[in-house]
Amino acid sequence: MASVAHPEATRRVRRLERIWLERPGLLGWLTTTDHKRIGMLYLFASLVFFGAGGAEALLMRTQLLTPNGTTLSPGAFNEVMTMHGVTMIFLFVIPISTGAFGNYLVPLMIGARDMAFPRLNALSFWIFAASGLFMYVGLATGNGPNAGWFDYVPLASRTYDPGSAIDFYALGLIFNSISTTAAAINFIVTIFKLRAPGMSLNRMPLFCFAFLAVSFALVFALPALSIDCVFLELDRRLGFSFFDPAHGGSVLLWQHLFWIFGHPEVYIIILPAFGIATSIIPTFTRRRMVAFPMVALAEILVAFIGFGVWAHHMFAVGLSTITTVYFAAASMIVVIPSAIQLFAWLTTLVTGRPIFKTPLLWIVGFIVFFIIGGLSGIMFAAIPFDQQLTDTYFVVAHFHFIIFGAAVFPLLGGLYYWFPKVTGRMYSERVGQASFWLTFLGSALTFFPMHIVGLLGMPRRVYTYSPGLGWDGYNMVETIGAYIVACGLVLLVANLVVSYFRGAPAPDDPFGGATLEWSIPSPPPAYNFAVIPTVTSPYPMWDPSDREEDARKLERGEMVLDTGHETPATSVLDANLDEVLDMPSDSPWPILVALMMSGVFAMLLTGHLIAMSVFLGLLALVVGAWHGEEPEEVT
Amino acid sequence: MWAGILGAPVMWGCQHAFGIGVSDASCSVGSRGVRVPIDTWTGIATVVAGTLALAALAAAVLTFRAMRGVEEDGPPPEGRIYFLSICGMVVSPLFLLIILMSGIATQILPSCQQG
Amino acid sequence: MTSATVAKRRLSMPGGWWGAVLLVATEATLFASLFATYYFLRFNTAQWPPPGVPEPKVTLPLILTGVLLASAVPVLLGSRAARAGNVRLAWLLFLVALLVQGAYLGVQIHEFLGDLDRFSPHDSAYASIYFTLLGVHHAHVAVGMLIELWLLWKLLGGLTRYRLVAVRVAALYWSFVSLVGIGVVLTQVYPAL
Repeated sequence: MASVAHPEATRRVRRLERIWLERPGLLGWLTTTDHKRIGMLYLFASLVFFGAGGAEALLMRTQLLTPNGTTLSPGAFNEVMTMHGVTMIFLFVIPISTGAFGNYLVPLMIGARDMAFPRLNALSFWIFAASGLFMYVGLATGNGPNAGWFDYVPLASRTYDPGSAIDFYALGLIFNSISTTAAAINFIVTIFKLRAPGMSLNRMPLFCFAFLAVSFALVFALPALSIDCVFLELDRRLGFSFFDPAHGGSVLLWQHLFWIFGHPEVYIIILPAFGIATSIIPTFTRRRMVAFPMVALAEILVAFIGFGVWAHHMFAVGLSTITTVYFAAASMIVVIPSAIQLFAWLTTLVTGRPIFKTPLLWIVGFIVFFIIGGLSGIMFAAIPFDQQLTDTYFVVAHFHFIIFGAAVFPLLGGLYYWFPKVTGRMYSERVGQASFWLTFLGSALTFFPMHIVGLLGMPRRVYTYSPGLGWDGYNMVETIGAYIVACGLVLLVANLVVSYFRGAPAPDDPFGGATLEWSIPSPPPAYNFAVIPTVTSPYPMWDPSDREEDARKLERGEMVLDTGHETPATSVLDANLDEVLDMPSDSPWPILVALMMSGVFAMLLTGHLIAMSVFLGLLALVVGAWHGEEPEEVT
Repeated sequence: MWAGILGAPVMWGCQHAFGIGVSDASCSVGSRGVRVPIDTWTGIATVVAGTLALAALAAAVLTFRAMRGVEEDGPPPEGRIYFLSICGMVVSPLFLLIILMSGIATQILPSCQQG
Repeated sequence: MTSATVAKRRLSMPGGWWGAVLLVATEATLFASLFATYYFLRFNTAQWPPPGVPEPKVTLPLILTGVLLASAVPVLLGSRAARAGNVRLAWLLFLVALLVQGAYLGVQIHEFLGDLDRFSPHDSAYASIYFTLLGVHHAHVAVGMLIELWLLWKLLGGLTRYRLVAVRVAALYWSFVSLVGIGVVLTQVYPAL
C-alpha cells in the first residue's frame, strides 16, 4: 500500500480523487460507469431475483411435501417451475457471477482503473434489469412462461401454448442475451488489453483465466439460443414452419440449438465458481496453487470441450448411435480438466496450512458437492444409463448438486471473502460459520434423496405424485431440507446486512490475500490504484519488493496517470505498455439505450410493429449520439 | 509454437463437427438421393485429425524443450511461451484421445441404428 | 503527432477494434447456426425444395453477391486512405460504397418481396429458413449502411484517433458481411445447382 505521508504523493492522490468523482445521489447511480458501482447494482438486482427464485423453489417443495398436494394448481406449478429455472440461471447465477463478482474484481485483479468499455458495462446492467422485469411482468399478468426452462416444442408452440407466456420467455431471453453478450465482450477486451504492464499471460491470476473462459463461451453459445428463440417467435407469431413436422420442420431443431447453447451455459455457470475457489484457496492455505499452468488450462478446456457435448441431453430422442458416440466420447473426456482442477485444489489444501474461516468452509462444501455432482454427471455419459434415468429426479439431483452445491457455494463464500474489501467492515465469523453449516446440511438433505427417488422412478417436473410408490418419505425430507437451506441463507444475508452497519472496521488486507485488490484501501477509492502496479508474478501481494516499488513510483509521479480519467492499455500476450487511454465518466446514454430497447421488446410482445419501429429508430439515434462523444487524445 | 497448443483442439473440432454432420445427415430422410459411405469418410476424418493432433503434440514438446530453464512466472516472452507450451503438452494428448474414441466407435458400431 | 502516426506506433490493436472482432465472432456464430439449421432441415426432408415451391434463381443472386463483394473494395480502400491521413479520399470512397450498397439492398428487397408472393414460410420449413437466412443478412447490410452514414457525418469534422478506429471497425464489419454473403448465396442457390 502506498504511503501517502509524502506531500507530492498526497497531492497526486487528491487530484485522482477529484478526477474520478461521479455525480452524487440517485442521478449518480443511474449514470454511473464505475465498474465497482455497476458491480453493486448487479449484486442487489441478482439477490432480489435469487429471492424470487428461492420463493419459487419453496412453493414447489411445499406442493411436493405430500402426495396430491394442493398448494399449487397444475398450471401454477408449471409457471413456478419454469420461472424458478429461468430466474436462477438467467437472472441470478450469471448476473451475480459475471456482473457482480466479475465486474467488481477483474479490473482490480489486473491492476486497471475500469473495464475496457465502461458505458457498455452500465448498458449491460440496465438491459439485464429490464429483461428480468420484462419476464416477471409476464408472470405477474398471469402469462408466466410455463413450458419448463428449456421450453421444448411442440409444447411451446402456438397450438399447445396459445397466449403470450412463451412470447415473454422467448423475447425475454433474446433481450437478456444482449446484456450478457455485451458483458462477455467487455471482459475479453479488458483482460486482453487493460492488464498492468508486466502481467503477461503466465502472470495473470487464475480468477481472470476463469472469466476469460466464461466470456469466450458466452460469445459463442448465446447466438444459438437467440436464433432458436427467433425461430420460435416466427413460428408462433407469423406462422413459420421451423418446428412443424407437417410442413417439413423438426422439433429436434429446437433441441439441438437449445443445447448447443445450453451445455456451454452450464459450464459458464460453474467457471466463475472455479475462479473464486482458486482465489480463496491460496489465501487461506497460505501457499501458491499447485500446478498453476494446468489449472489455468483446465479452466479454458472445460469451456472449449463443453461445446462438443450438447447432444448428451438428447440421448433419449432417437438419434443414431454413430452420431451419439461423438458426444459420449467428449462427455467422458470433459471430466478430465475438472478432475485436474480438483486434484490441484485438494493438493494445495493438504500441503498448505489451512485456516478454516468462513470463506474456506464454503469452498470445502463446494468441493464435496462438486465431487458428488460430478460423479453423477459422468454416469450420464454412459448412454444406456442415461436412457434409463433421463427425465427423472436423478437428473434434478445431479444438476442441483452442481448448480447449487458447486456453483453457488463459492459465490456465497466469495460474498464473505470480499465483504471486508467492498464495505470496509468485517462480518461476524461465528454467524458466518453457522450460516454455512445450516446451508450445507440443508442442501444435503434437500438434494441427496433426489438421487434415490429418481432411481425409484419419480419423474421430474410433475406437480404431484401418487402415494404408495415409496417416494413419500423422501419428498418430505427434501422439503424440510429446503426450508433449512432457506434459514441458512436468511442468516447469511442478516449477517452481512448487520455487519455492514455494525461490523468492526476492516483493514486493507484482512486475510493475507495474494491478488491486487488487497493492495488498495477498503472500500476502494473510485480510481482504484494511485499507481498502476508493478507485476512480476500471479501473486502480486506476496511480492513485497514490487509493492515497495509502487510506493516509490507514487512519490516520483511515475505511472500515476493523473492528467485525466486514465488507465494504460497493454499488448495482449505480454502486457507491454502500449498507450494511455482516456476513459468515459458518468453518462446518461446507457440507461437511455436500455429504455429504448425495452420499448422495442415490449412492442414486439404486444405486436405493435409501427411503435416498435419508432423505438428502433430512436434507438439508432441514441446509439449514434453515444458514439459521437469522443475521448481526449492523450499524446 | 502456436500449433503446439491450438493444433489438437482445432483438429478435434473439425473431426467432431464433420463426423456429427455426416452421420446425422446420412442417417436422415433427406439423404436418399446422396450416396455417402459413412464409415469411409469418418474413418478418413479420424486418421487425418489424429495425425495432425500428434504433430501438434510434437510441436508442443519441442517448444517446451526449447524453454528449458525458464521459470513459471518468468518475464515475457519466455515465461509466457513456457507456460503455453506446458498447456500444449497437456491439451494435445487429451484431444487425441477424444478423436480416437469417437473415431473407433463409429467404425465398430452399425451405421444408422437408432439408439 | 497525428492520428496516423499514433496508429503506426501501436504494439497491438486498440480495444475498440477487439470489441468489433468479438462482435463479428457472435454474428458469425449466428450465421453458422442459420447455415446449420438450413442443412439440418434439408436432410430432414425427402424433397428439397418441397413440392410446389419453385427452385431458387441462380444468376441474379450470384451477381448481386458479386456487387456486394465489390462494394467492400471502396470500404477497404477508404480505410487505407484514412490510415494514411487522407480524409477527403476516404470520405468519397465511403460515399461510393454506401450508394452501391443501397442499390444492392434495394434490389434484394424487391427480390425478397417477389419470392414471398410465390411461396410462403407458412407452408414449408424450406421457405421458413430461406426467408430468415436472407432477411438476417439483409438486416446486417442495413446496419452496415447506418455505420457508414455515421462515419460520413463524423468524418466531416476531420480525422481523430477515435474516428480512425471507427473506420477500421467499419472495414472489418463490411469484410465480414460481404464474406458471409458468399456463404448465404451459395446456400440460397444450392438446391438449383
